[in-house]
Amino acid sequence: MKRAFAALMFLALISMCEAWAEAPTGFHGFFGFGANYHPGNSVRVGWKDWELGKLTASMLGVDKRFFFENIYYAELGVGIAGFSGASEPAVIGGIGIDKNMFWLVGIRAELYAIVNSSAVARGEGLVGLSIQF
Amino acid sequence: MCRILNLFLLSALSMLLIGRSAFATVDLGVGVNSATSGRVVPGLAGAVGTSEWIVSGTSTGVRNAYYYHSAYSLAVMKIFKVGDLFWGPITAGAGMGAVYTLDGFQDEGSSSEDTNTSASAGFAFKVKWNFAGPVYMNMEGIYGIRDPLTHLTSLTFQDFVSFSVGIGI
Repeated sequence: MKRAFAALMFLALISMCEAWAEAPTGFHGFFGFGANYHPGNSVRVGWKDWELGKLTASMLGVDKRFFFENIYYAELGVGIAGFSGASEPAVIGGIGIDKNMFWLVGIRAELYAIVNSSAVARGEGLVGLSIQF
Repeated sequence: MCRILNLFLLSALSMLLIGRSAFATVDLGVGVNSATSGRVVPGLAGAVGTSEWIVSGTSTGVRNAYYYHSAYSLAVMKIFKVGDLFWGPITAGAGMGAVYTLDGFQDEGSSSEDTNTSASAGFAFKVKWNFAGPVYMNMEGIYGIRDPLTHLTSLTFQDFVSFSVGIGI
């Protein structure tokens, strides 16, 4: 019940907040919660459209975000994904929303899909806080 | 549904081969998806549509003497041209999709076959990179939802992920 309340509050916050005027123009970061709201499933730092770091709970890599319609973005990246103990080259694609809340801090959510070189494929969601300088 | 989807993919192939159609987008590729995750089982993936909307589908399956497993997906998405990655354009899509799977197993010596089907529907997206002219790489996801509150509060879905490489006109 607490998680349901938190999720509804998250949606309410998104709908109430003002948007950034445009895509990141400098340094930015993201701290994301993954499946079951596990903290730190994604920790990324970036410059303009690019970002790198722990993209998901199971993948390290680099990706580029492509903003459209102001606050929405698509992403495409590559890296190393570890499923079932083996780390292999992988591709990530996703779509999300990155919206300013106050000052430099924003709220960000995305759905991503990963496929590695052994054809292991999965998709999940992330929500978290973003910061732009 | 399976026949309809295969017909859809064959239509995409024929439009691709004929080279002319009323559609602005005709894609056909091969790849892998999460229905057979962990096994490199090739599947078909295609899309037809206008410059703003597409209908996208995949079809894959595996069969041996004891069992079979097939998976099909269909999605409708609005398309956005979102930028370039190095030398090729990126196209993103967002919409709704559905996945249908069926499998069967018949044990050695058994006269009966155990069959199972499942279906899910929910949000869908795609990210396509045309890295060499008409040749593209496509990532697609469908996030099936049965209980919205559960999915929202766990950030997990009945995910169906497809990766394909193909050619489009």
